[in-house]
Amino acid sequence: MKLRGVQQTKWWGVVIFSLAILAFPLVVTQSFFITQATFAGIYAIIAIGLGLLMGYAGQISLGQAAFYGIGAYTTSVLTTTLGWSPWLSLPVALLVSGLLAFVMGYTMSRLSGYYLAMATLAFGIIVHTLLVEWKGITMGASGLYGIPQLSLFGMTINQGVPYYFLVWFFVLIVLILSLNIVHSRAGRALRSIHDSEIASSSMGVNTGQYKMQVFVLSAMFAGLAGWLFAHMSYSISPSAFTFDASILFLAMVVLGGSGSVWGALIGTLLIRLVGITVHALGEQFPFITSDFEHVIYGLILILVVIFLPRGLFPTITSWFDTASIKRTKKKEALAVVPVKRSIS
Amino acid sequence: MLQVNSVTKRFGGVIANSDVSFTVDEGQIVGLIGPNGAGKSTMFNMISSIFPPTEGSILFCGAKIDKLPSYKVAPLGVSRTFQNLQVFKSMTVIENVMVGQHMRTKQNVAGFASMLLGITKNERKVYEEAMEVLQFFHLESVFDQKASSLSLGKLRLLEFARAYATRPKLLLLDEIAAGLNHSETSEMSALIKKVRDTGVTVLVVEHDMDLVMSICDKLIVLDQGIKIAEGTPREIQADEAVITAYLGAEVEEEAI
Amino acid sequence: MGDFLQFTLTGITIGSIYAIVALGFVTIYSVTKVINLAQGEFVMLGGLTMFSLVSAGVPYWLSFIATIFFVTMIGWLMEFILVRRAKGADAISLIILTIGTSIFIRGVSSMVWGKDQHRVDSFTDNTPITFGGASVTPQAIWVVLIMLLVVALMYMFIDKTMIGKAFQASSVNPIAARLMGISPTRMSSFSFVLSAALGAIAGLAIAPIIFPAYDMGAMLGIKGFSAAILGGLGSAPGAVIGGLLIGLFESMGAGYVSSGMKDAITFSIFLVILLIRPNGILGEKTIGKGGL
Repeated sequence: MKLRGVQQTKWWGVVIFSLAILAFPLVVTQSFFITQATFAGIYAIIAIGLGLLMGYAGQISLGQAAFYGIGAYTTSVLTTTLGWSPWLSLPVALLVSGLLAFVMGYTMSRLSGYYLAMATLAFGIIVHTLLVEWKGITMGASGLYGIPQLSLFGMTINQGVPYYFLVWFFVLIVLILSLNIVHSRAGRALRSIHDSEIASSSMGVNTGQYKMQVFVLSAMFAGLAGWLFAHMSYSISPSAFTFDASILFLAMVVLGGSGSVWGALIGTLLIRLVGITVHALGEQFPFITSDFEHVIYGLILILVVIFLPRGLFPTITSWFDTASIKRTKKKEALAVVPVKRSIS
Repeated sequence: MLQVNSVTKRFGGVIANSDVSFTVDEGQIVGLIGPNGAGKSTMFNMISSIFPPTEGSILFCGAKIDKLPSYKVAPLGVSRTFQNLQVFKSMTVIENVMVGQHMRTKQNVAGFASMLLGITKNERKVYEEAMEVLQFFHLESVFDQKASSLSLGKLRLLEFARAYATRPKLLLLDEIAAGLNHSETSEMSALIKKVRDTGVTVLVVEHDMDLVMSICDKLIVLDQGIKIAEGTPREIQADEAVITAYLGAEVEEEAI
Repeated sequence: MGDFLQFTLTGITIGSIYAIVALGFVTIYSVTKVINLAQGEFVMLGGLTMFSLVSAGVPYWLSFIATIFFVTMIGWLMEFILVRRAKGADAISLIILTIGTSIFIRGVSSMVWGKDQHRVDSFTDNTPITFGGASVTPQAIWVVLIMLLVVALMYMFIDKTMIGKAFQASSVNPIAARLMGISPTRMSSFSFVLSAALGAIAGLAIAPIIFPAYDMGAMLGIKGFSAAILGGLGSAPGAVIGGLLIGLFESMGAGYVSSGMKDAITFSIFLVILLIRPNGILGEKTIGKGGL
């Protein structure tokens, strides 16, 4: 059942993607790459949420790492200090991230544009500082150790291929959920808010509520990613949840395309690839330090904004669109001629 | 149906509207006209609750609407078009209209989840209704084109169609004919009448005198924020104050 | 009492730097509506360039001038190469552009100067002066004096010179300004140049106190940005007030609570103030037509 003219999920894309996920560990077997791919999945979840926020609610978040960290620390503290089962701490982690986003969104709802962006930045810094300073709960900068691994039906989900599948299973869920949102009535409402908030409001769309919902959802996705991250590592520390991390997530969304769920995914993979490449080069050429990574990320952001302002994925898809429009226009032009003849 | 009571709007030191009152009855096509800077768009913005009046009140079907947030006005039956075109550029024509139907449709979590299995019945209904609206406005041929690729004439029709899709009781048209050529304006006039005949009351702000004189039942004339005349098109055409406002005192001097 | 005075003095000192950085933000924003998150990097470049020149044996006063010149060039380059190309992009894209530039500059700097902190000598002999139970170094006094000088010069410049008036005109109504023959590209370029110069001066002033390092720009930029927002974006007096306030919050927080918590405290107070005054303390100037 197809509805022409309405943006819809390309399910064939989802299928191919799922197959690619399954095939990857069969093709690439080195554990280093499996781990990198697992991290890519964790970041992709954050990026997809951030992409929804930026592309559909039209709001930049300079502190997304805060929710990532909150998710990770919530589950870590619950499972270590209180001995909870990790599966129980998952909904709590989601709830805490979501709730904090709700409170933040509600109190900051009078802010707009740059003021709101700065508020997200401030929030990110506050959370990071608290993670470092509340040593009693978070163990501070030295890190929180002893985070238990996940187990399902009595079997531990080890690092490596099993965890890879766990993470990418969640990525798939997040992807499908996001695609559904975007292609539904809610998604249209969000896109309309992005294009013209004033007109959207005059159509009866409660713009404030929608923006809030996306903000909370993006925070919950980041919280989920934090949960996955915590149980993959034996320990976590606040250094993974800094302003720099927030910027990295931003770069993934900007590169892939903030108006696109697939774009966020692709952007994440590409940025990860850049990171891996720089590391590999760094081993060959010692002058390429880890700071070179920053130079590259900076360049990517600059070049994307100047040359590909909508991001990779939307730009590429619009090339296909233009090509097909040209084809249909050609058909229409050819169809006009015979009609004219019959009139005269 | 619509009652504007002694509405005044001040922006800092600037008085955009001063003690303006008028009514719009059901089934009418009413025109709000006046020279530039008369305060017509400001009035429109207050009726659609973009911002509230400084003094006075606005009632719609007996209920006060001037203090409501703008997204609450549409469900009451008031919708509008925008002078500076606020179409949803990244969406297709039919998607634009579907947003117009937003508040009349619902999609709960169950319907949401069943999207996994393909298009739901609800979506299909919304789609078909939107298509009907497009046909009403002769836009069905471009239904799947991105709004950003349309010509001005079609964009104005799209805004009109989108506002109509909300099934309003009162439709506010803000200079819908601005920039249109003669034949497009005639088409627009005919459409406005067609819309009225389906039971929608229409309030237009317009500069095009031909359009306004030919379709409006009643005209309200503003000049520099004050209402200077109200009446049928014939009465207004003969009204001295109106002529002076539009043409200035030169007419008087010429007569001498 | 001694403590309070000490914290206030420290707060005013660091606040003066934030004020100058915030002025840099406002300068660029008022004309181009761009939020230049690379502003902090101008400060960092100011400090580190000074260090390099002085270490290489260049006389202090000459290094001073050369540094300002060099950083100003970078500012000009940034506008010319980047911002000009991205004209017409939306606000989010522009922020990202400047963030990217900031990261890029930081990355290059870390490759040039390494990750260590460096020492720069003070302007004058730096024995602390004590009074009222608090002590203050002459360099700190220099910082505040420089801030006051900068504010005074900016005021005189904007209000009393032709270029300054053109600048004001561009920010209040860019279209009308253009009709009057004021070139928007020239003004845009000029705003970046001025802003970079401000950053360099701030960097020079604070270098003897803060031990410049490649990453000092990030936090300075963020705090300068928040100072500009706090005072009301687009308002120069607001920027100065905002900067001083942020400096005071930070200093009080570090002194009375803990140095580790100072950022959390500073930004929490910041958020609370934004809650009460969503457009900043002095409010955003909404007369201007150039908008987000």
